[in-house]
Amino acid sequence: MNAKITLPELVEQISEATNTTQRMSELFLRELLATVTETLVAGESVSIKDLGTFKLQKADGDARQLLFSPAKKLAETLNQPFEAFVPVELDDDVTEQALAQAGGTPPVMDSEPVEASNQTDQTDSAESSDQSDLSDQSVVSDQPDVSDQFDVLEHSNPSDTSGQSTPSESSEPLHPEPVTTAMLVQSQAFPDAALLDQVRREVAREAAHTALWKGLAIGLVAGVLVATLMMRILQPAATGTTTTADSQASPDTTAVADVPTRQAATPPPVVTDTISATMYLTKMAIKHYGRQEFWVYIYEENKSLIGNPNHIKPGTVMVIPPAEKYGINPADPASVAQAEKRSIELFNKYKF
Amino acid sequence: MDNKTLVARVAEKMGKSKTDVTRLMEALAGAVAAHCAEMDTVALPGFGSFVPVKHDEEIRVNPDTGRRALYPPRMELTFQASNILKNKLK
Repeated sequence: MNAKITLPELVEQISEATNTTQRMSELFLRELLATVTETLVAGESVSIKDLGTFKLQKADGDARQLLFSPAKKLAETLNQPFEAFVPVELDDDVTEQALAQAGGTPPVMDSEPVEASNQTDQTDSAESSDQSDLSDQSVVSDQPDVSDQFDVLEHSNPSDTSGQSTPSESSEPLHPEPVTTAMLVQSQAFPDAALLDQVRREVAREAAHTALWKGLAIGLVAGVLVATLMMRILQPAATGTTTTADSQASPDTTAVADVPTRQAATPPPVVTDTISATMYLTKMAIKHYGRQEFWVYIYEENKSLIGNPNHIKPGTVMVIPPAEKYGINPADPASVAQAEKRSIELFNKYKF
Repeated sequence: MDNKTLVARVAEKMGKSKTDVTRLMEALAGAVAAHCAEMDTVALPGFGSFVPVKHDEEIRVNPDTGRRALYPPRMELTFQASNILKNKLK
């Protein structure tokens, strides 16, 4: 690790692998590098199978910069220890500090390797050396060893572990931060995939906990708001303009004098949808109308907000018109054909 | 220049067969991969070094949604050209 491999070593390995003389391997390497250099100087890119591609890029002025992009297989092999991981979305209150702080209070037992190396001054020397040996081994071996080590620690340092939280799901949602992989990395070359996995699950769990509390709080507030709105509708103090939401909420049987005015043409609720990388016009059309061709009508409805239908900013709120407004009928081929015609018109206009 | 042409050129220069050169190339790629998996840099004099770089996990923000996500650690294989090569390319 972090060693520099020189040409002679490489030559030896190649000749061993191919069962050729060292002179041959060295000659091969020199010729290969010479050819690659020549080709690059001539301005052409070179690609080596299972290694990568050397490309030239024009930098400022006439200078050329050499770029190397590794071969896909090689990159995958190198990232094998991490292939189990995927990006995990974070909730808003899992702060960066929370993730960065490892400290001495790791709630997860697989952080023991780190804890062992951190607490060497607190344990007696004999035990700590055992633990650090164990910690080196536990990275390579599977879970059971780690759990054994956890038990050992518990017996030896009751004072230290008592202050820490137990690795249970019932811990407080805003509890001290879990250990990050960054800390694990410092003590060994590659963190165990399973350990990392546990840490990240812990992060997700914490995030889920805080999300739960937030959800409950929002639900409560929303409930109170709905209650007050209902009160207002049922016993209004003054007549005001009714919003569509209010008219939606108003029950049909109300023994109030304002019922006659309310019953006058309650407009149908306005359906909206928001553009994002995962929700675009054709998808919206499928969702609301049943066929993607009808995206053109969603576009028509919101023409004032968007120019080129291919370039709509994520987050734009689109009003979805009711099907009758444009004669949208997914079952009728004539309706579909008309939508397609419109899309061709738009295509000619915007050239997408 | 793709791999095939490169092998042909080197075989021609060396006076060896293409199959031999292919095997040598594979051995080289394998050796580099093995070293880099151990986080060792491979230095080729007059050419450059293959340096494996480990990126720790980090929080990135999705510009569209504004949501943050924790991205896992990854290993990147980089190449640092030697000054000799850089001068030749200037």
